[in-house]
Amino acid sequence: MVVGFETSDDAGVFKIDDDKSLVQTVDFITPVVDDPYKFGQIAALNSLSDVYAMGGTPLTAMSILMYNCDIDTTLIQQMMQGACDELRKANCTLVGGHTVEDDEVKLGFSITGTVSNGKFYRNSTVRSGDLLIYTKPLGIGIVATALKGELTTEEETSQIETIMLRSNAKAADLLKKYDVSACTDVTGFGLAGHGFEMAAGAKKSIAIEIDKIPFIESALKYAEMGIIPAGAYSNKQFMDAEYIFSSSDKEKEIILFDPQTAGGLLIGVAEADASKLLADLLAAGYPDAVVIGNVTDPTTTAVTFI
Amino acid sequence: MKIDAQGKPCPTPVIMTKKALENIDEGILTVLVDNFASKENVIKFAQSQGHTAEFSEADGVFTIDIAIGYPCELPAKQQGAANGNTENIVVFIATDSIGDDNGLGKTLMNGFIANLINMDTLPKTIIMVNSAINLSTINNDTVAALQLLADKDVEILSCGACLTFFKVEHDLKVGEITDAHRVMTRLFEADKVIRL
Repeated sequence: MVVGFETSDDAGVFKIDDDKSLVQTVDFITPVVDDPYKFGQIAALNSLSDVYAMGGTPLTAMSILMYNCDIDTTLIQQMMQGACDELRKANCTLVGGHTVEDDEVKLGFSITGTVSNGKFYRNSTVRSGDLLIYTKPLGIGIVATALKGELTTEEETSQIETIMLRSNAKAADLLKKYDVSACTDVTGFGLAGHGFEMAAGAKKSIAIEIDKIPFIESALKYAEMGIIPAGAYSNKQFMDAEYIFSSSDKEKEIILFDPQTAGGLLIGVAEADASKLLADLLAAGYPDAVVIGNVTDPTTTAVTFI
Repeated sequence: MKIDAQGKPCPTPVIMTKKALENIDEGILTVLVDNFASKENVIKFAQSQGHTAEFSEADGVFTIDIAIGYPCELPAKQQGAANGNTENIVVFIATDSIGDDNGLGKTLMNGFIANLINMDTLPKTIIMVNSAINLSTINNDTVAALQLLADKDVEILSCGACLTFFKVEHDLKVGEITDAHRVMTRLFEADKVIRL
């Protein structure tokens, strides 16, 4: 085994012969959008993302599906169609799966991918002096919560759908050209939580500039209204002793802990390569990609928001 | 008003609070929730809507009291607050005469309206319908008395359909024109309705 539980990485890595390792992950989610086809797409992209974050190439998928038998079967068909279409785009073959009866729909995949020659990205290997790039705007969980509460406008809904449907595949591919030290995808623990894992795993500290982070505009509005998923509060509580928030933008603090579904990649890259990688990401269809902070030698606090 | 949002996942407690607040102009809304996130969210929501909120916790249940309207300032301005009485009294008048209009009835009405200002607790709203709209239009004695009450923040409402019916819609001298919905809202919100 090359990567296991220790550093809370995105996927496990298991070496099967001298130049090939398996990357394995499992993830499933409850509906975040009303459209079943789009939900299927997002569930697949969310699962594939863990393999991309490791620098792996998806190979096979096993579905995990839970639903109440009273549900209209066409909804299940549309969900699976959305998922299969995304898996096909990723050249990932659905080889099987398992279905369980449950009150609320849940869909996800166990994805197996490969890496060659031991070339993959851990989340825990950033170096002092690296810059941190993040590739998507923040606040997906908050807007999805507002959507669940039927508060969002059509425009706001389609905006987060677009963000969640933006695959991390191309971004991960671009990393290979540059001096990238570490990568993770920002999901359930929020930007702060995954940033903390990155810093703590490498025994470094990271500083993130609030003004640089792209926030989804409607997420700011809904955060102020208290439309915040419970997970954001538990993430914040868990991290309480591990971060400092010294910005005057107090209302943005909780959004740093917002759980992201199909969030972006958080990338540690050598300062010399950062602007080139960023230019590539912007050109490849990640309009929100931006340098949000940097890595330093360890200080008393793992994560500082300034 | 009280809503129980215990056991409800985010954002349901906030949505329940939002819906309840839409139907309250003034008063206290009490919201029960059973987790920290919902407590934070409901308080944030109340504050984002310009209300004040306080909470207490007992046995894992958070009781959030949201004050809607002007919990501190308005009662202090009203005379009734002097003796601690903030009862919502509505005076509903459907005629311009007390009892039969045999000559005495109108005089009695003038006297009653003139004396409202002397009560320990002023009514919050005075509603005039049917021929009572004469009191806010052509009867100069009652117009003057109602104006004194209006100056003390008593809401004076005259029925729009009645003004039209009696062809005095341009003669309204005090207060506002109102519709049936507002009249019913005031009556339903009242602690006490006095009918003259």
